[in-house]
Amino acid sequence: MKSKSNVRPPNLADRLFEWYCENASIEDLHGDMEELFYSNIESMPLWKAKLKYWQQVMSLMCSYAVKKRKMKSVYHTYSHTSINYSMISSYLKIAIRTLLRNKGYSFINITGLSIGLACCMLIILYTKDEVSYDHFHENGKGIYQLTCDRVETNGHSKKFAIAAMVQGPAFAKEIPEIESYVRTKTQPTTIKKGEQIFNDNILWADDNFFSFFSFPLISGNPKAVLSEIHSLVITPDAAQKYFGNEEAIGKSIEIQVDGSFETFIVTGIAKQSPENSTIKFRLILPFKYLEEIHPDNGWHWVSFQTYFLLNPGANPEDAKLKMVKVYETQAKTEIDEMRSMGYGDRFIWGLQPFVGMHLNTEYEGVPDASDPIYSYVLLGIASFILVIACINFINISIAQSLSRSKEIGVRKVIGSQRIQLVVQFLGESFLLCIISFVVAFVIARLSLPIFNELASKELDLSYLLDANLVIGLGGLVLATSMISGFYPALILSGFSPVKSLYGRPSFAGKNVLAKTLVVVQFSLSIILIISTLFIHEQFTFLTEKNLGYNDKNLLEITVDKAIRDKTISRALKSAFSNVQGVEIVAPKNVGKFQRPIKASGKEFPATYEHVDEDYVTTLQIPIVAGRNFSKEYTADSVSSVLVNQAFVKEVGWTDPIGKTIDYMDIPGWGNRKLTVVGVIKDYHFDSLKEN
Amino acid sequence: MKGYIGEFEELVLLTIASLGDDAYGVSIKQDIEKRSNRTISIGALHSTITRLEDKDYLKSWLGQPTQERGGRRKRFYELTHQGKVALHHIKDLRDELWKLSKAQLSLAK
Repeated sequence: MKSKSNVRPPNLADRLFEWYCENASIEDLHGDMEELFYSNIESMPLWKAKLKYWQQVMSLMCSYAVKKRKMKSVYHTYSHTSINYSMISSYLKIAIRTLLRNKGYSFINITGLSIGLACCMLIILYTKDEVSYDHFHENGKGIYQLTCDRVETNGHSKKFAIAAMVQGPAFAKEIPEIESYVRTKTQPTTIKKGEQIFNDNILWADDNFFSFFSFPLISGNPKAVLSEIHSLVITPDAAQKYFGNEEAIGKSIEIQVDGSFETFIVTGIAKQSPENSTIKFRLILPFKYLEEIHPDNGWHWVSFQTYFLLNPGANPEDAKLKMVKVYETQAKTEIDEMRSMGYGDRFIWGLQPFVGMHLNTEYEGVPDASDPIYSYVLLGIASFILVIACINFINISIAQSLSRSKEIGVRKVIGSQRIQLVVQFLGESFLLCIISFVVAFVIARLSLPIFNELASKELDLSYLLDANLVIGLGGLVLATSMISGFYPALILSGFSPVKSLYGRPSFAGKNVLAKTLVVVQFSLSIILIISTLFIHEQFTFLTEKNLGYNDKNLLEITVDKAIRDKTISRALKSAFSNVQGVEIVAPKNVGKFQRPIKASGKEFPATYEHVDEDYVTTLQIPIVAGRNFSKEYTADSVSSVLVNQAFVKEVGWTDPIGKTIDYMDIPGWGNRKLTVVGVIKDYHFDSLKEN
Repeated sequence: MKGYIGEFEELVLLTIASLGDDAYGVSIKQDIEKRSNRTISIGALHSTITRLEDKDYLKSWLGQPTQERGGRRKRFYELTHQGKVALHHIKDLRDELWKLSKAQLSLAK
């Protein structure tokens, strides 16, 4: 006889039977089968007994007996695992009652979580926008922007994302990797329509602009709209501005180029460039026009964005190497000329991928490029806030648990399983998260305009309705409710019913995790507060730092037309002086330029500004030695210069007045010797972010 | 039609009655199989028992767990008063029919 201990009925059949019968009471049936199995193995081989056992399982599973017992079990007091409707409605009722009973706690919980979630939503919007910049172009992966690295003789280098006019066609012609090129330039200008005058931004672009980039046209042929030299493509928004509701195609406006108005005829209407596009436009004009009025074969006066489309599979590094050769052969005379003039800067041309360019601040000249560090910092802050809210939730739940221990005890005595309690508490945190999510959505909606202003973006909550983001946000809610609900659920469901009903559960005092959480929560809050104070200090520094001149009540107006024309700037000066409330007016050239200079045998680059005799007075910059410019000295308009203290120090003069600057090449002014007439106190002419 | 019981049901009821205190699944099955010389499936037997319980002819209780059967308890069955009445009905009916048909049913030629 085989020993009973090592022969068992087929395990799989047992499991199948138990699974099928769920929680019905089938103990006796199961026992009957086992008894029959053991009596069978006395009289038949084991395999046959096992087969019989399987038959019995099948026959019982199909029988009325099991069916009936299963039906009964639905109302069985001990039915667990299967979640039924009445239980869920009980959980929901209890959850809502608990929320309402502890209004204060619920308020703190929901507020915390919704602020955290709202921050996350806004920041997800922001980062999504940042990361998606320029991703919509079909050729995107093959497009590179030409970059210019200007290395000065002292080893300093300046990096630009712009080039001169010639690079585009020259490189595209000589380098097989480059399929095509587009040059662009944005420029603010004045536009005339009939007698009306407008200010607007125009974009000069090569005629393949619309086939190179994926900017769809509403009307017009993408290949031909910019081929005529006086053609113009506008956005519906601009069309509305200039032509109202009339059909814009074929109509003309006058655009000021180089001081005179030129007529351009609308040949196409382009869809508004998306919010997340580096290239933004309202009016697009053919680059050819610019080339015709300002033909320029120079390689070094950089001011145009140049984009290349590389052949599929072409290696940008190869193209870069070839660019060096092309530059060295074609620009040879120009480079030699520059060297002979003592101008030793080297130019290194490079390519940066167009997609992702938005998050690269290495090169100057990419419109609204932003540092990815902002996205990281913001994501960090959002997760900090959310973590604090979650910890808050956990701590409050644990603190409240004492008052709920009786409920848990009673539930357990009645027969609740631990898993049921875990489900209940997780459900409660999920409910809370859903409520918070709704509140968060409202908060995000309401604060979006302010956020847009801060981030200088035009985001819309509808951006959140992206399939990936919806899944992401759903995941966020789920994750938040799991993280914040899981620990309390585990702790609370672990209460022993006897302890919770007769004594007091004594866990709250000695729980290490809860204490750790409080410490983490406080640390995070303090880190955030300190960072905020720090940033506030930075801003105060930037706005209140003594700049070396008086910036109160100072107003700057840029007049394009006056840049080239001195008579206009003089006329403007006298006209502005007559405006009531204006104390003093002083013209100055736009921007700041650095040129190499030579003084007392020293050679170094210096920044210069063109100003008149009122400038120093207007900005209230103190004169340390010598005198200001004056109309009384005729030489002032041609050969006098004011220098600052830093300049004097750099050259090493002890008595700077009357000394000469031997060499200074100013474009449009020629190379002149200048006599120092005065020394002014150092003042900040550059951003405080620069050193 | 209340009170109607089938042949197999009658067999089960009578077997339970004959087994007295020891009437549970396996003993009923084995007893019927031994006496009637036929195999019955456990599913069919328990279905019948369940139906008889539905008709209130049987009552049951769980026994004490033992070392046997993996510690699972047996469910013992017992006839209710209605069960006994139903058996009597069918027996009376049979007896009456037997009496009436004595001559024809005689096995002797």
